[in-house]
Amino acid sequence: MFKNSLKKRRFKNAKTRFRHNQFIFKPKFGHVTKSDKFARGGGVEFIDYINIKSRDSGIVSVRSCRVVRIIRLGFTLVELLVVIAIIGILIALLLPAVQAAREAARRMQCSNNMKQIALAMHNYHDANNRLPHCDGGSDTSVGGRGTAGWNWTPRMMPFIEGQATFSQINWAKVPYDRPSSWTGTNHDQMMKDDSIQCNYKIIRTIYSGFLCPSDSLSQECTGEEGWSVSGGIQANNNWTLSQCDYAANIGDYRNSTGLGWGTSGNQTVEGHTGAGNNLTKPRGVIGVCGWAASFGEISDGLSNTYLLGECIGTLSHWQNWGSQCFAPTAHPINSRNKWLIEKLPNSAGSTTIDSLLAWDWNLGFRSMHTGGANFVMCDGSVHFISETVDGMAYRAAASRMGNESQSPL
Amino acid sequence: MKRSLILIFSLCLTTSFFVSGCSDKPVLGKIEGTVTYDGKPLEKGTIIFAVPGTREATGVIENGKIINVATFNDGDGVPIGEASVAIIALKEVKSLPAPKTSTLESETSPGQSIATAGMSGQEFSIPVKYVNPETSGLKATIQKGVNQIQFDLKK
Repeated sequence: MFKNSLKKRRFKNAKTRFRHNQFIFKPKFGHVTKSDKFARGGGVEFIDYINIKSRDSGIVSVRSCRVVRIIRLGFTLVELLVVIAIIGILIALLLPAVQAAREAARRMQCSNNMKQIALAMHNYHDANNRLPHCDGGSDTSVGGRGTAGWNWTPRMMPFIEGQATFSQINWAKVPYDRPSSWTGTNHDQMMKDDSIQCNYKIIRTIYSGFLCPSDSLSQECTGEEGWSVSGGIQANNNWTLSQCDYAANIGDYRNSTGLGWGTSGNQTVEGHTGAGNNLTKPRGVIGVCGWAASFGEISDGLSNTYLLGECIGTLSHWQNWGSQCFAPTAHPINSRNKWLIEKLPNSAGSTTIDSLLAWDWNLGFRSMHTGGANFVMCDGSVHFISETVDGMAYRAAASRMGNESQSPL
Repeated sequence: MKRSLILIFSLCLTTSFFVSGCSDKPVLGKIEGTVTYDGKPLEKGTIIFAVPGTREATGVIENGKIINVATFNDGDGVPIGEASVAIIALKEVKSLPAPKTSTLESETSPGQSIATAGMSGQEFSIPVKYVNPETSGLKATIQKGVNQIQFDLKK
C-alpha cells in the first residue's frame, strides 16, 4: 500500500488545491509528495482525474481517490451517548447488588453483636446465677435489687471488656445524675470537661457493641423526653442519651403495658413492670423492675425462648443504653417503623404526642434490616426472623414458661 | 440516532424490571368499620387481626372508628383469610406519681417516672377476654378490596 502510494503522479491542474476529508493536498511541481499524504498518519491516495457528467454544470473533472486510512479527531455524539448508557446500565445492575452486600455485612455484624452479648450474659449467669436485671422502673419490690434505675447493659460491662466503665458508675445514684451546674443544652461541653465525673457522662457515651450498624438513627446520642419541673410531659431534647438496639425480652404480652394475662375483673395480671397491683414475675426473661430469670426458670427451653431482640433505640423513650431497654411481642416485627420515624420530635418544646412517648406503639421488636429482625435465643443462637412469621409462633418464643408447640425458627 | 436511543431506553426498562424483582408478601384487604362497647363507640384502643400462618395486622380505634389498619405500611390492611380479632382498650387507674428527682438537681430522671406513669397506671376498660384473639370470639373474613366490619363488645 505504501509503496503504491509513494508513486509520483502528475496533476492536470497544478494550481488547484484539493481538500478532502480535512486533508489538504498541496501539489508541488505537480506531484503529490510523501509529506503531504502521510504527515498526519493517513489520508486518501490520489489515483487520477476522471471526467463525469454532472446534472447542472456539464462535464466536471473530479479526483478519483482511494481511502488509505480515515483519521477522525473525536467520537460522535451518538457514540458517546451509547457508551454512557451502557455504563449507566451496568452501574444500575451492579448498585443494588453492592448495597445488598453491604446490608448483609451490617446484618452479620449485628448478629455478631447479639452473639457477644448473649455470651456475656451466660458468663454473667455463671457468676450471679441469674441474668442481668434492669431496675429502670421505679418499683423495685419484685426482686428487690437495685433502686437507682439502671439498665441491664451496664451490669454486663465487666463481661464484655468494659470493666473501666463499670467501675466508674456510681450505682447509688440515678443514671441521669450530673452536677447541677450542667443543665440545659451544654452537655457536649460537659462531656469534654475531664474534671467532671458523673453517671450522666457514662450513659452519654456510645457503646457500639450495643448498636446495630444498620440503625443509622441510633449511632449518636439522641433526644429523650422528660418531665418538666412543674409536672407533665414535655419534649426535652436537652436529654440526649446513648441508645441501645438490643431489647430484653419481657414477654409475650399483647400490648406494651404488660397487661393481658389473668382475669380482668380484679385486674390480676402478669405484668412486666411489677408495679402497682400486678406484682408478678414477667413472662419473658428480663423484667424492668429488678427481676431477671435464672436459666432454671426458663422451662420452655433456652433454645425456644428469646433472650434479646432488635429494637431501634431512638424511636422509644424506654429503649436506651443507660436506664432501660426492653420490648414485648405486642406488635409484629418492624410494625409501623416508617410511621414512628416520621413522628419523631424534631423541635424542643413540642407537646404533641410523638413516637418517643407513644408507648402503646413504640415498644416492640423492630430493626432497620429488610424483611425482619435478628433475635438471640437464651442458648446464645442468633436467628433472623422474618416479619411475615406467624403471629402465634412469633409470640410463643417470648414466654419462658408458656408450653407452646409453635416456634418461629 | 433515534433508533439507538429507543434501544437504550428499552434496555433501561428491562434492566429496571430485573432489578426491582418480586416479593413474597401476602395479599391484603383493606378494613373499614366501627367498634362499640356496651352500646357506645369505643373511645380509644387498638385492634389486632390474627390470620393464621402470617403476620398480624394492627389498627387504631378512635371514637369507635377503626383507622389505619396496617400489616406492612400505613393503612395497607389485613392479609386475606379468616382473621381472629382482639381489641385492647386501656384506661388510667392511678394518678401520675410525683416525678423522682435526682439528688443534685431539680430536673428529673426521664426514664423512671414515665415508665411508671405511662404504663403501670393502666388497666383494661373492656373484659380481658377481648385482648386475646383466641378467647375474644371475634372473627372476620378478610377479602380482597375493602372490608366493612363491625364489633359490639359486651360488658
